[in-house]
Amino acid sequence: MPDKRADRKFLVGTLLLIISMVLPIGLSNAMPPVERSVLANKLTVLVFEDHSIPAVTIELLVAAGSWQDPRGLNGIANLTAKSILLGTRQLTFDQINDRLDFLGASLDADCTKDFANLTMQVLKKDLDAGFGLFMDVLTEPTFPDSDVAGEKGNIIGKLRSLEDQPMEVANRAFEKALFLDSPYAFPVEGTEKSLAGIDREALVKFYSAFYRPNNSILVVGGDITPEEVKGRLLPRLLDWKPADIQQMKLVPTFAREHVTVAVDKPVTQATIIIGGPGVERSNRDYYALSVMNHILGSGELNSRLAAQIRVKAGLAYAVQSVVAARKYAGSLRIIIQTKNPTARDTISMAISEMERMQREPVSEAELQEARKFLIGNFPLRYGSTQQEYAKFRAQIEFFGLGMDYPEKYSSLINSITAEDVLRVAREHLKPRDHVLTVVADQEKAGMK
Amino acid sequence: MMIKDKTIEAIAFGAPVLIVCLVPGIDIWTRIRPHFRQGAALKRLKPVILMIMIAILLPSASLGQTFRDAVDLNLPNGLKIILQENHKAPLITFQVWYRAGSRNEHVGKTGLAHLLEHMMFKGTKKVSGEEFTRMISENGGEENAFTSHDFAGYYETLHADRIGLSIMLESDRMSNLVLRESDFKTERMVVIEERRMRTDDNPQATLLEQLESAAFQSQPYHWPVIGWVEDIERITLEDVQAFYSKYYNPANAFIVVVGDFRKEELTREIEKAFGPIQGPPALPRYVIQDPPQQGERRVRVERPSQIGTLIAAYHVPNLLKPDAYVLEVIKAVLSSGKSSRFYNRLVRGRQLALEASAEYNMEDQDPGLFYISASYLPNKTPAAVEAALFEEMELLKTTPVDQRELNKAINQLEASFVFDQDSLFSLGMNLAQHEIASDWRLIANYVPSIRGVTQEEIRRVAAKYFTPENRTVAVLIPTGPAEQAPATPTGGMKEKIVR
Repeated sequence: MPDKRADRKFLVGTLLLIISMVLPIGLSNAMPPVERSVLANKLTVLVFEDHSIPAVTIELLVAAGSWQDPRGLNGIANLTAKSILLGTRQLTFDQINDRLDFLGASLDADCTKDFANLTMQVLKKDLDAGFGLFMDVLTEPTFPDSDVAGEKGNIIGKLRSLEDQPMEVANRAFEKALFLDSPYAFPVEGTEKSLAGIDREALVKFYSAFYRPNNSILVVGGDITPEEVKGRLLPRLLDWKPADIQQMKLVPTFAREHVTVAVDKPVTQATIIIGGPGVERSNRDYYALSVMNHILGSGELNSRLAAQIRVKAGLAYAVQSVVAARKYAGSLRIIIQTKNPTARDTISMAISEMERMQREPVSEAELQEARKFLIGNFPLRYGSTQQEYAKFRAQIEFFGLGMDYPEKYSSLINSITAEDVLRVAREHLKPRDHVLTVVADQEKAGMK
Repeated sequence: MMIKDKTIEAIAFGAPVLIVCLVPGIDIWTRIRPHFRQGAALKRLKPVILMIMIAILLPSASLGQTFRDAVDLNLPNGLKIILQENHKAPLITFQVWYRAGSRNEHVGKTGLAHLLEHMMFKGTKKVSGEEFTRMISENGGEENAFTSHDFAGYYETLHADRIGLSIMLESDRMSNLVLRESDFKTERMVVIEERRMRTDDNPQATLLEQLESAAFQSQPYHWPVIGWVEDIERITLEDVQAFYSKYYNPANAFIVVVGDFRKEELTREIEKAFGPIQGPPALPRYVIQDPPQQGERRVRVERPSQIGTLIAAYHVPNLLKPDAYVLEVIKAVLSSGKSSRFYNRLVRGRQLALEASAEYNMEDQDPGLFYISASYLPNKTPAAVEAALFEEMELLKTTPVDQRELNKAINQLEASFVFDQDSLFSLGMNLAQHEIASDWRLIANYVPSIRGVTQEEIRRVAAKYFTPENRTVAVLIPTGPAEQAPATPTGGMKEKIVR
């Protein structure tokens, strides 16, 4: 088609001009404002409006993550979260699910290392019925024995199936090696053995200790107003009784010298994680690390790791670096998947990119691009749907980042300099004393 | 989200529409439930004179306001533009869709459509690949691309005042792509790594690939979207260039834009950039359909795995036939929610399966499959799981679905339809998939058609399609290291720590 190419030189020229002229993107108008209140029972309630679809999202964050699992009862936080859905004082499992499904509503419970979530999405017209079920499972769960046994079976099945996923196997092995004997080392789900040791009494105890309004954050968003929340939801919320929460603190421990974890599996591709200790989400260095991470291995094709390992060398499809900041210090890691025989080469390439990051400041152009991306992309990362935004607002509150976090994010990022990036790279990247995890056919990967 | 570790995920089983992406980590796909679907794929695309066809959908309470004011227009060069204003946030998703998926490939060169999708990020005469990525990134945008059996799609989501960027970049690479041998050789290696991750090291994805290859014979759905590895290795730069020249033309593409813009203004900008691109008239569009299957086909995959999996799939029509909506309701009756039949009887009741699901996508351009599947611990026998699944399929034929159960399924589908309209990206995706199949306007039919499904239709449709001779069954048999499955889930693999 020789004649199909229109000459659009002028368009592209204009384009470059437009881009250089525009002002930084504002964030605040891209996300709905949030109204915050604390109820008499100390439940923090956040409300936002988005009337674009006739649906309401209800998101509860409970500070009851797997790091709070008592010794020997690993997996109890997760099992508690899943088990509140199994039956209430008024309703059996079948009744709960028949009602939910008849509304077409979703109600899911999940657990991370830091907290548990209960999430509902329901059509506006069914709000009262949906919210009633939400509060029933939250405040009146009965943990019926046979259903809990079934739930344990589900979790064990999931643990087994994760063994077939190299990335999951690598993540687990990495965390176990990095966090040594501290709570973040253990999988959220626990193990088959630890689950066997959890009985109904233990669940009730864990539930009563942590599932309290004064230990939770509720976000209600969507086709609803703060007045409706007050009028329709508040009475039931106030029935939820507070209690003293046992104050706990996680003291992280880390592998401090080089460790190699080699997991042998009959796979064609090596899954590699190279990483070390990270920071708390509330740490000031989080922002410098975010900028550094974008430049090093954001997952975009132009990050340094992707440019070298994927675009230039063709050695991987998946290559990126991750700042996994948590309530307590988390991890920094580089993740690469490459065919077994090139595992060693890509590890060397990743290490030399870490060294370069520690050796010389990032360029002004890289710094500018990272800042612009992080700031401009903020509403897309956290606000594309009601559910995403609700989770995000709950986490802002949980991590204590402040109600004005979306407004101040620009200045937090814009204040980061090349020197800051260099400093955090030197402090946190571990080109030598890292945990190296390789899930691969070890012989073919030359790791033996 | 923010503190959750971002891991790179392969497409989970349960999404039989295999879609392959430019960059990993896009979990957007798992949020999209297949809904509505398409129509007359044979409909001729009329050579269009400069005209604006404004289609105002009939108001439908259940649809909310969402699709009511979508419009389309056709440029003289055959490029169709579908616009949907949505002012909930100052954001826009801009999507370019080419009718150029793996179904347009030939034997021996499978994987070509997807490889071209990767090459589309290597730059044009005006903008290098690096610049492309940097521009989107500097403007806070999100971009990716994906290929399926039926299409390749490219999108950026940007702040509303940056939409000019998408228009310029996408119009540029519709015709000015520069294909270089060195880029190509490297990218082909990247795609082979992608295949290893998605399929070769994923027992369930391998099983699905095997099932589809057995179920389809003359239809191009016979081969995987990402291609057979030997075919990928055989593809040349000339193949990519020829595919690009043949399919990446205005008349073989359409644009979908959803977000915070004014139609008139945006139309002018799009016309200015895309209008001058010339190309041949639209290619003929065929529906390719296998002859009726004449008996059950069975496939076994034996490989190391912790979990057994069984998939059975039946040939069924797409939205060209009203039966599609009945199949959609059957899908919900069988496996939507924890009160569904599969969950109740296979997972919870008899505890045969860890998971059991029914999947169906009306949107395939050629007739597709209705999938039922279950995964189970190795201590269960595949035969028992299979018998339990088929028992449920028989029950649909012999006993009418209870009216309340039917209403429940309809409510679930309607609610999902509303929830999915929350994201600009999936709004655009929904419009586009209808258009790929037939016509985006058919979105308006979804809710009324679902609501109209009766007990008797369910019985009739089940009896028509869910027969032994119309099905293909694929079983994953765990072997090797997994047979020494350890008591604890962390065992079973050799683990050594070297200091």
